[in-house]
Amino acid sequence: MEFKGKSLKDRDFKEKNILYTDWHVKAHYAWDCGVALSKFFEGLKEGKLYGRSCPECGRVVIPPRMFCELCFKPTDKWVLLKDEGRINTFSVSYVNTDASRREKPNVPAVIEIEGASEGMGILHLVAHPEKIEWENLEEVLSMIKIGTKVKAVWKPSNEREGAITDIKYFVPVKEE
Amino acid sequence: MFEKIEKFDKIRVWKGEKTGWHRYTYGIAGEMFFRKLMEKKFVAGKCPECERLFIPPRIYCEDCFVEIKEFVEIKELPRVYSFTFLFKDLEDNLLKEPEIVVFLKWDNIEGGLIHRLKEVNIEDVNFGLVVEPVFKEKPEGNINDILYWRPKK
Repeated sequence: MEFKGKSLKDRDFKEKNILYTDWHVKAHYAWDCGVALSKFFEGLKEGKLYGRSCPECGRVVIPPRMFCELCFKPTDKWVLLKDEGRINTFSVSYVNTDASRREKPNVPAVIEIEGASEGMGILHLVAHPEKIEWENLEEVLSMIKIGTKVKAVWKPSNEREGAITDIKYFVPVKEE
Repeated sequence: MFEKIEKFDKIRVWKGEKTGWHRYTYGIAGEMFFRKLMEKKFVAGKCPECERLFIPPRIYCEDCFVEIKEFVEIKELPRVYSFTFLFKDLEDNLLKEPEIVVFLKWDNIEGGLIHRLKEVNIEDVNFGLVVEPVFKEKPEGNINDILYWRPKK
């Protein structure tokens, strides 16, 4: 006994050869930030970056968390960090988050925040220091390397809402 | 040792929305059912072994495990098998008028349909009430081609 299926083409839907029902899903969610991230976001609103330190190993973690995942101990101190750091890793992307194509690239990067422990960082965009927008890959590579020093550019304080986007982007800065 | 948030306005939640859409095709038997529904007809699948009828139709009998090839038109009307009064919509808002959702079954046919019941007083809704469909003018080939059901006149 054989039940034969029928493979469908886009055409079949357009020409209404096949009946169907479309269903659009909209799932709203509210994710509880907890103690550590609530403070982190409050800090962003004030233009500050908060980390958290572990009494056992002394690491300073950012984004902050209330326990050290290595020592399994509660972290105990808030540490105000500088809004600058170094590029840990970066990518030159011609694709937007909705998968549409960009003509000019943007540069998502993990930025190790100064004052936090090695490898601790946040994911953000790196922009051209003057033009903001990058022209092409070559221009990016001429200014950006792993280890390049960058500094946050913040939204004006009245526009901040307590989100990671309160930092508009990071820009490369000269070594002192 | 543990820090707590003591002011409510310091509690943060991150709000977001996930969207998506999917497209459901009815399959061989379902396609047949809805094509006929567009002609304001109901069809049931008939099992060649046990001779039972199924609505919505399917292409196999789950008891006999044989293919169903015969589809027969059902001219009788279904009855209310169970019902629910809805006082709120899906967003938890109070409705102006309660909606009635019914599960309808045809006598001697397996399965049934879930649908809306209207043009009826709440007091008159009962098990076994015979109902008739009210069709949409321009059918599209889905279950809402039946606008709602009402007690047989």
